[in-house]
This record gives sequence, structure tokens and C-alpha cells, in this order.
Amino acid sequence: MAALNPPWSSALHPHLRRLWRAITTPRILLSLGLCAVLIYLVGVPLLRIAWATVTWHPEDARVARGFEEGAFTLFHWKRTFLGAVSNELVYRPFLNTVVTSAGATLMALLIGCPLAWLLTRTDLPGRRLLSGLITIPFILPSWTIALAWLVFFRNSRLGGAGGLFEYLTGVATPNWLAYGPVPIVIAMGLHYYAFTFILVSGALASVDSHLEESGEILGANRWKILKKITLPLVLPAILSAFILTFSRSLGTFGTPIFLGRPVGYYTLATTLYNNLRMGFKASAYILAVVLVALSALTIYGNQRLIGTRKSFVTISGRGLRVRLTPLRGWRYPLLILVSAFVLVCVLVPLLLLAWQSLMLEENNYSLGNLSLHYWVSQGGDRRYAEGEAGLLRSWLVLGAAKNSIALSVITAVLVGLLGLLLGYAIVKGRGTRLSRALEQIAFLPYLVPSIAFGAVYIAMFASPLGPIPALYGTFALLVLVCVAKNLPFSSRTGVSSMLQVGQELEEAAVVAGASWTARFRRIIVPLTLSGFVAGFLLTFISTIRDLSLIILLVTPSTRVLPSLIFRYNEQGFTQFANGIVIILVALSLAGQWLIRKIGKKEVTQ
Amino acid sequence: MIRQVLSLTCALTIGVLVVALAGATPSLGAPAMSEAQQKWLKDAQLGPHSPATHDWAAIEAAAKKEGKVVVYSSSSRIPAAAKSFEAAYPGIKVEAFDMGTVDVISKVKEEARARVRTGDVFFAGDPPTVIFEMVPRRMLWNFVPSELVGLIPKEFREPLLVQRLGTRVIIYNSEVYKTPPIKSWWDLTRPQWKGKVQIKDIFESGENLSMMATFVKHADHFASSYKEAFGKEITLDKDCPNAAFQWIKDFLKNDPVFAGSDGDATRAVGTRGQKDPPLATVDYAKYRDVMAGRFVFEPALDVKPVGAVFYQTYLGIIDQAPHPNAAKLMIRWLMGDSRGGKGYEPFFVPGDYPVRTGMLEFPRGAVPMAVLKTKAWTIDPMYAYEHGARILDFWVANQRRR
Repeated sequence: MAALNPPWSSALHPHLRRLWRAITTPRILLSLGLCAVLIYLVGVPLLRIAWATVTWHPEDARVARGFEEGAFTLFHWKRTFLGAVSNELVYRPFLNTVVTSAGATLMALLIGCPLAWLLTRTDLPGRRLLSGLITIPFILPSWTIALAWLVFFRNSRLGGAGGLFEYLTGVATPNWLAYGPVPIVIAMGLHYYAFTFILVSGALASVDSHLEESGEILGANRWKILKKITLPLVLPAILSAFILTFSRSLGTFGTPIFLGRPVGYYTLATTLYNNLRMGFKASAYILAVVLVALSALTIYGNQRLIGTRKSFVTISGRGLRVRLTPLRGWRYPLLILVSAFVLVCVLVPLLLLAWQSLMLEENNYSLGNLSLHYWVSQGGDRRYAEGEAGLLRSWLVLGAAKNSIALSVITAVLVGLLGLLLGYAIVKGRGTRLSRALEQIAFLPYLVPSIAFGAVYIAMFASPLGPIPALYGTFALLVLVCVAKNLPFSSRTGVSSMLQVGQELEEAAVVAGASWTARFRRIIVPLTLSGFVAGFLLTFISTIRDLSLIILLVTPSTRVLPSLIFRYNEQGFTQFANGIVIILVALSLAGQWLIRKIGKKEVTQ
Repeated sequence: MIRQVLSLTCALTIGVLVVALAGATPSLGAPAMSEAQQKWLKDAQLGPHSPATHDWAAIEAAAKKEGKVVVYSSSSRIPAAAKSFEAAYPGIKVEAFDMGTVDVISKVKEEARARVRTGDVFFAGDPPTVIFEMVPRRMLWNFVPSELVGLIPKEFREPLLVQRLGTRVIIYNSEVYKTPPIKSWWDLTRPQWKGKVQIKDIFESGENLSMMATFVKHADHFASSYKEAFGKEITLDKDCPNAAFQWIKDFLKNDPVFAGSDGDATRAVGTRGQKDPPLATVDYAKYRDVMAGRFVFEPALDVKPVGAVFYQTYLGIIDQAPHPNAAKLMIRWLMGDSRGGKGYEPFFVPGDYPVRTGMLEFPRGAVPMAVLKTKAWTIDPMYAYEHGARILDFWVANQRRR
């Protein structure tokens, strides 16, 4: 290895010299550097927020007197958990969060698992197309369904226009169906099932049919095989899908605020947001800590539960062979069922939003009311959206679209690179403590629910910290938070693509005298490019649609499309809000298409 | 693996605690002025360096050199004022942000804490926070164009210039109701209006919180109007120290709907073609939507015990603003002239009341100040500041959250 050997090192003790040489090998240097970056991005912010819950803030003048700013206090914890408002501040939102998250996760599993089985292990016709359509919600903002729900089910409680349902049936939608836990669970479930689907179908695809055939030879019928062989084999994947989905939905902000607020149904995420906005920072930070703890506990529980069962050998030396289960007479009924699901739960919501954005008057569903006003008008007509210019002419929308694209591309590039470096450092150092530590810290962001992550970053970067300037209100802050939050996935993809690169390739280059940077640039990067593209794509998709992570950090000059949608929705300019959803979806699809195309070209070259 | 993660976290905790502690002291309060702040004040001729009369030619020249002004505004009408300003002062670009009061305030506070200097003009309400948190901490500086000093009563010039008085009122759909369907705030606690009153959660709205504080200040009036409404003396629950608290409690029990914004609430009430429209508590200034033909609603200005609550909307220069001279020009522009004027035009609407005396004209369709004054209260920033947290806690504890 090309260790640096400064001239003064000969004067040092041999042990120290050995240590110096070890530290200065590229891999160790890289690992230490990455450790520092991760601690800065994740560790320090977590500590800052914990500290902020036990100190006085200037805004506390409204709830207490005679304190010294920055001094230690347990006041906030007592107020939050034992005070007169504790029920509404933390306990009920906690319960609501658990109920909606668990409900949504359950629903995601109930939809996602059967779909995964149908589309990977059976002879259902049109599987490729259906798979593509079924994963669409994954690229949509998680609250798309919530907005579509309001277009369809809103009732007189929100006043103004009734929803399409009322228009069609003449029946007023009951409150429980229009707002609150029921629609929140459904809307979130209809988003997260795609996530479950992807995870479970991945596991199902790697189950060798030989195992199932052995059962068949022994005389088991199809249900028994499914129950006794296939299901147990993918159970770990299902369980981890449950946990991953659950901990993801804990920090979701959009759906609960859109569907919960009209009936005063708040979750931890929405309560956190309210507290922060009113300047009750300490309470907000405590709620963030609660969310992190809840999420960490869940994942810990998951590890305990399935820790030992994770390691079934499903891929044998004989090579993978997947035999599709024939559906026989069920083929077409199931096809119709799946297609109907895709139509109603995936396509109709988008069409509803598109249609609503074309309605000049909100409660008028006649064709004569269709208009491109909210898309192309010059503005100035105060009857419609206070005279704001149409979406395609609005500098606000243009600016937000630019910011969204810049944010997701920059984040994806940085995350892709970091993932690659992390993968390299972890794989090359396999077995060492440093490698393990690195892998674990890279996983930490997963424990922090999105909205809590935003709160953490406000606490961290609101004021200058040592040599680092305050990042409040900057674009860089948005990039940082998105990079940090997406690291767990990219480090996974980094590791798995790095594992595919044989050690001997790099060794040969060492023998040939190539420097570390040359090796990385000429061997590692080209060989892992497809992994990089995959990681890039995933980050791009999840960043461009994200609201929960950035809602607390966005300021008017750094507005992105999702935050603009939220703002327009709050103002009651629903045509604008829904129209931007369509723009966002189009941008996301175009971005993916472009990335795939460029990626393919690069990989084949 | 999780155990390792946890132990690692502990290790990290010790490792970086020093860093965390070092940077943990918030620096929002600014009892002593920094050198940079003093220099800025001197250069910008603000605070102790304010001249007796303003040399507008010099200010305009300096503003042209600055070339830009950034306005943080709570009003959706700011783009119109920005446009007319740009036309009047070519060469000075306006970046006007319409963000809502809560966001304007949190942005100015956070920028002060972060020592990020981007905003120039503060233009928003929430009197208690502005007067008791922001001005004393020197996040905002007062600037009153010298020629206006004699025209504006002192209470609207000090400690921060008031641009206009906003008005919180109850509105009803005038297509369905030809006359106001309610006579008293107590009517909002009747079963008939259960689930049918739109209001922005006071948790998200400083204006509404201050309005509630003003109710509490005038609690006696709520007691007497209870008698008027129900024909008997009010009996207070144990947790309600006075009639206003009792009103808040009963109101919340009646399941009000929390709107996303005033605009959203206005839309809920004023949309045409409804059968059973709700009521809402919003800004009277939303009446411009009626004038423009967008909505149909009227304010219920004769409800007891109070028909309207005035609140102050302030103009100030943000501490160490990068474009102080352009900010001064903008403030003068937004104050308008005796006939309203181009800069004040977007605010020259029913429901908004200029604070300057000797206005020669009033907006079309407006209830004159002299009339409304007799049935309105004005927010007392001090009272709202001192009682706000208690009311907020009471509000949260009594909300029928689900």
C-alpha cells in the first residue's frame, strides 16, 4: 500500500510508525473520513436535539419566567409528559401515530404480499405491465392519495364545494369516511403497499422452485405448499417489510395533516410541526425524540424477533429455477381483479387530480366548467385564486420546479458517490471493527423518522457551530438532510455492488503500480456503475417527492414543489395544488426515463 | 446489530458531547450590541442614528445602488405592491415573499439566530411576539418616514410602525342567509353550529390567539352577553376562571373545524351554491373577494359582545438588513398617501384601516372606522403576551382532539 512516509517518521517509535502507516492507508483514511462525515451528519444532530430538550429557549418566555437562556432544565419534559396538556400534546398523538402507522402497514402487507406472489410466482397474464403499474405509487408523493381522497370525498364540514362523491350520489359523505383515521390508514396503505410489494417480490423471486416441488412430491396440495414452504421462506422478508414500512410511516406528515386536521386528528408528526411553527421548540424536539425512540424500538424488536430466522438458504448451488404456479381457472378473474385495483387505486387518483386542476369553479363538475385557466392564465382575474398567474406562467412554480430538480439530482449524485465510497470501505475492511462501525452508523438515519430528521437539522444548523456557518434557510441544508436520510439505502446498494467486484482485479492493478485513486476511478467505479445508477435512481425518486423531511427546513427562497403543493393546499387554491402534483409526477417520470437512458449508455460503454 | 448501534451511539455521545455543548447556547437575546450591529445602525441611520428629517433624494440614490429589497410579508397582497414599487423605482428589484405571519416571524427569528442576513422589510402582525420578543431583542428596527410623524398617533408609531389595522370578524354566507344568522359569539356554542364554524387553530395562528386573549381581557362582557343570549346568569365550570374561558371551552366542545388558512376558511363560507354553509372567523379584509365577485359573504358586525377585533400589522427593518435604504423606500411606499396611493392600494379595501389621520378617501364598501370603533376591541399586545401561553394551554387541553 502506498503509505505516506514523512521524513520525520524514522525518529518515531516503531509502534507509532506502524500505527501511522496503518492509519494512512487509503482504506483506513477513507473509513475514518466517512466516519467523521457520518457522525457530523447524524450523530451530532441527534445529540444537539436531545440537548435542546433540556435547555431554556428564548421563546419559553411565554410559558415560564425567570430563566436563563441555554441553562439546563427538565421543565419541558415535565410539561410535555406530566403537565395539563400532556394528553393532547403527546399521549393522544402517540396513540394516533401508532394506530395509523400500524393500520397502514397492515393494509400495505395485505395488498402488497398477495400482489407480489401473483406477479412473481404465477402465470398471471400481463405480469410485466402490471408490475410496472403497481409500483407507480412508489414514485408518487405519499400524500397523492390523500389529495385525491379530498377531491372525491370532501363534505360540507370543509364547507365550500362538496366532493365528487356527493355530486354523483347526492349523499353527504360521513365525517369518519372523509377525514380522520380511516382515510389516513387507507391513503397511507395505498401508498406503502408498493414498497411492501417491491421488498416481498424481491424475496419471492429468489425462492427456488425445487423446495416447493419437494413438497409436491411428498403429496402436499397447493395451499399447503404455500403455507408450509413458500410463506415461511419469505416470512423474514415480510416481517422486515412490516418493520420498514411501519417505521417509514411514523414520520409521515402530508397525509395526516391533509386528512386529520379537519377533524382535529393529530399524529406525532403533525403535532411536532404545529409546535415548531408556534415557536414551542422544546416540545417539538421532545416529540422528535419520542419518534426516534419509537422507531428505534420497533427496529430493535424486529431484530430480536427474526434475528435468527433471517438466514434460510434459498439459493442452492444448482442454480435458481422458478416455476410459475398455474392459476388455471383463476387466471382471468384474478387478472380482472388486479387490473381493477390498478385502475381504481393508482390511475383514478391521478386522473381525479388532473381533472380537478381543470375545474374553473370548484363545485361544478359539468364539462362546460373545464378550463385551462389554472394552467395558462396570465393572472389578474381576482375571481380565481386571487388573480395568481397559471401554473405554467408562475415564477413561483418555475422556481420550485428548478429547486426540486436541483435538489434531487444533487442529492442523488452525492448519495450515489457516498454509497460507493461507503461500500468500498465496508467491503474492503470486512471483519474489522472500523468496517462494522461504519456500516452501523450508516444505518442510523433509518432510525430517525423523516419529520424528526427535519427538526433535528433545525436544532443543529440554526446557529453557527464552530467553523461551520449556520445553514438556516440555505439550499445546502436541504441537500444535507436529504443526503443523510438516504444514506442507509445507498450504503446497502454500495456494499452489494462492491461485493461483486473480485479482489483480484484490484490486486492486479496494485501489482501494475496503479495508485489508489487510479484504481478507484479505473476499476471500481466502472464495474459498480449499474449499482450506482440504481442507487441514484432510488434517491432521485424519494427526494423529488418528499415533503415530511423538508417541510420544516424550506423557506420561500428554497421552496420545492412538494412544499408549494402544501402551501397552496393550505390557502385553499386546490386546483393549483393538484396541478402541481401532476407536474411533479411528470418530472419524476421524465427524470427516471432520462437517468435510465443515460445509465444504460454508460454501463454498456 | 441494534445493540451495537446503541452502544455505538453511546460512544458517539461521549465523543461529541463537547462539540454539542460548545455550540448549544442559543444567542437570540442581544442585550449588548455587537460592533457589526452598531456599524450597520450608523451606516443605515437607524435606531440612535435616526435623523429628524429624511433626505429622500439621498435615500433613493443609495437604494438604487443597493438595487434590491427583500420583503417578508404575511399578506398575499404583497406581490401587487411589489409590482407597483418596481414600476415607480426602476432599477430596484423587489423580492417579496408571501408566507403567512407565523412563517414570517419564525424566519426572521431563525435568521437572526443563524446570523444570516437576507431579509430587509418585516411586514406582519402578531403584536405580542413582535413587540415583546422581537423588538426588545433588536431583531427589528423602527423606521417612520419623517413626514408621517405628525400624521400618525404615537401608539401606532412606537415601538414599531403600524401599517394598518386588520380586523377579525365572523363571516356568513349571504347567498343562504339574508341577515346575519347569529347575534352573539355565544351562538357559536349552540348545537345548530356544531361542526360548522371554521377557524384557524390558534396553535397555528397568532392573530386568533391574540383575539382569544382580548376576549379574556374583556371577560365581563362575555358574562353579560351570555345572559343576553341565554336569558340566565352564566355558571362557570371549575377550570374556567371567567366567562371568556367558559366561552372558549364551550366553543371547542361544539367541534369547530380547523381550517388550513384564512383563505381556506373564507372559501368554505363564501363559495356559491351551498345548502348548509358554515361560519368562519377570518380577516374582514377578505371582503375583497366579495367585491371581486369570487365569493358571497358578509361580516356579522353586530354580534355581542364584540363585532370585530382590531390587530396591528407592523412594518419594520430587519436587523442588519443588506439593503436598508431600499427598505426605507419600500416602507414609505407601503404607507401610501392621504388618498391611499399606489403602494397602499392593495390594502385600500374594506376591513383594513389605515392608521394615518386625515385620509381623504375611504375604500368603497367599507364600514367607516368611526362606526366600527364603537363595536370593536383592539388587541393589547402586553395582555396577549402575558396571557397567551395560559390560553393556548387551556385551548389545547379542551380541544376535542381525536
